[in-house]
Amino acid sequence: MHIGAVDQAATLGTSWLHRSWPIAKLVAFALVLAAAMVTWNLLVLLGIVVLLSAAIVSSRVKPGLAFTLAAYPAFFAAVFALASAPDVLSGFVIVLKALAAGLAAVTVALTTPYPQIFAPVQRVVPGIVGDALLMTYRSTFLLLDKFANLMTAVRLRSGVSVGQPVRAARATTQALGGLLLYSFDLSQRDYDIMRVRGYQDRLRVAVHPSTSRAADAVLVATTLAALATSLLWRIAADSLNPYSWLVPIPALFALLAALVSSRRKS
Amino acid sequence: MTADRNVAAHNHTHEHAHEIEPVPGEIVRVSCVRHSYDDGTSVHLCGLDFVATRGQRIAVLGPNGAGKTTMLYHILGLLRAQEGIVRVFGVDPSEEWPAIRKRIGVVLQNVDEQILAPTVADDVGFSPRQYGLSEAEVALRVDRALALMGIEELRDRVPHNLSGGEKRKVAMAGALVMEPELLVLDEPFEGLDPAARTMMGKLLRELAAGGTTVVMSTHDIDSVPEMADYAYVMGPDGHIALSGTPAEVFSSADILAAGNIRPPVLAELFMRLRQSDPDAPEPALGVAEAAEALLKWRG
Repeated sequence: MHIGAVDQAATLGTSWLHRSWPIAKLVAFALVLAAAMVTWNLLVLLGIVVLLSAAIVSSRVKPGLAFTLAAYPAFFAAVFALASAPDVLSGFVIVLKALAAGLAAVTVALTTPYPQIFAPVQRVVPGIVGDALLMTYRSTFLLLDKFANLMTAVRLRSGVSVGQPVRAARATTQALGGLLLYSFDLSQRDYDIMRVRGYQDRLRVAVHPSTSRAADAVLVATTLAALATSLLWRIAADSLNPYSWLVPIPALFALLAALVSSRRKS
Repeated sequence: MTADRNVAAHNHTHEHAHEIEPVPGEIVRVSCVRHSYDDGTSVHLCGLDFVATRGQRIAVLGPNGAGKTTMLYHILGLLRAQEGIVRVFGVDPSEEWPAIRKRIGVVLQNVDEQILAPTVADDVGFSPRQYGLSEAEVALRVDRALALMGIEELRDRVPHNLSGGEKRKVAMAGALVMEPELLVLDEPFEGLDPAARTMMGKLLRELAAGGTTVVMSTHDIDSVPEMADYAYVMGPDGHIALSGTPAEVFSSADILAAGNIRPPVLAELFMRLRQSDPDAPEPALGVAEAAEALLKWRG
C-alpha cells in the first residue's frame, strides 16, 4: 500500500471529517476504541463497524484503500480467533473488535495529515513512546511498499504462480525474512534522516484549527454515544440483550445517508 | 595549483591528525577516518585530508563502495569515527550536532526516505518548524526555497506521487530552506533531466558565490567540471588519492584508472589528442571552451 495514497487522501480531502479539528478526531478515535474494547456483544460491535463505515463513506476517501488497510488487523485477529476462540460467536467478536479498531485508525489516518496526528500525541506521552509511535507509523507504510516490491521481484525471479502454493509460501517466507532485516536498517535510517532535518524529541507542527465546531461536536457526541451504548450493554447485558438488534439500526441509517450523499456529490 | 598526489608523507595517524591546524576559512576536515560497519565492512578514509573551505564546491569521486557516503555520514555526525578526525565548523559533528545542525543542509541519496511530510510545502517547511521558527517565517522561507528550485507549482502536491527528479528538487528545497552555510549532497544529479542539471549547476555556483560550501558525492563525472570547482578522488580502498581542480584531476589518467573512474568525454578527447600531438591544446572541459580551443588549434 503506497504511503503516497494515504498522504493524498489525508491532505487533499475536503470532507467534513477532513475539516474537523485533529484533536476532536483523536478524542473520537479514543472513544470508539474504548467502545470496541468494552463490549462483547456482536450486534453492538457490528453497529460500531457500520458507523465507522458510514464515516469512511462520508469522508469520500477511497473505500478500497480504507477497507484494505483495516483488513490487516482483522486478518491477524482471524488467525488468533481460529487458534484460540472457544466458539464461533467469540471468534466473530474478536475479528469485529480488530476490524472496528482498524477502521477507526484508518478513518483518522485517511482524513488527517500524519504530523497533525502525532504532534498532539507526542505532547502527552513520554518522548521515547512518541518517537516509537511516529517511527512505527512511517515505517509501516514504507515496509508495506517494500514488501509489495519484494513480492513482485520474487514472482519475476522465481516464476512462482498461484498454482504453486508451496513454492509461493516458501518464496513469501524468504521475502518476509528479508523484510524483517530491512526493517531494522530502515528504522535507523529513518531516525537519522529526521535528526539531520532538525527533529529532536518531538514533532513540531502548526496544529490545524477547527473549521467547524458543529462537526467536531457531532463527531465527539456520536462516538460518546457509541461508548455509552457499549458500556450499557456491558453493565446491563441480561436485561438489554433482547434489544441488541436495535443497536445497528441507527448506524445503518447513517451509512445509508452517507451513501446517498456521496452518490449525489459524485 | 597542481593536484596533490597521494604520497607517504600525507598518511596521517590518529595522533598526527589531532595536531592539524585549521586552514583559513575551513568548514570541514576529514582526516584519516576509520569506520567499521556491523557486517564487518571496514572503511579507512586515509591518504589526503579532505578539507572544504568557505564558498567551495567540492565533488567527491570514487568507485562504488569506496566510502563516499561513509564520509558524508561522518560529516553529518551520523557515524562516529573510530579513528581519525572529523571537524565541521570546528567541532566533532557526532558529539556536537545540535550546535551546528542549523548551519547544514542535506540531500541524501534515497530521497524517498528523506521526504517526511505529506505535502511538498509541509516537507520543505519541516526543518524550520523543528527549529521553532514562527509560522510566518516558515511560510516565507518555504516560498523562497520553492522559488529557488523553480517548483512553486508543486507546493500542494503529495511528494510521494512525484517523479524522481521532482522529489530530488523538493529534497533540495528542504535542504536550502534554512539557508545553510554547508550543503551536503549525496548523488544530487540522479534523476534530473538536462535542463534541471543546468539549473542546479547555476544554483550551486550562486550559492558558493554567496559563501555556501557545497560538498557532493557523485558518479556523474561529466557534470563535475560544471558543478564543482574542486574534486577529491577516492580509490577503491577508501584512500583519498588525488585532489585538485576538475581540470587537474581529470588529467591524472593513471590515478583515475586505478579508481575505476573514466574522465569526462572532453577530458579524454584532449588527453588522446595530446598523446598523438604534443602541440594539441590544454584540456578544456566545457563545450564552448573546447570548441574555441580546437578552432584555434586547427588554424
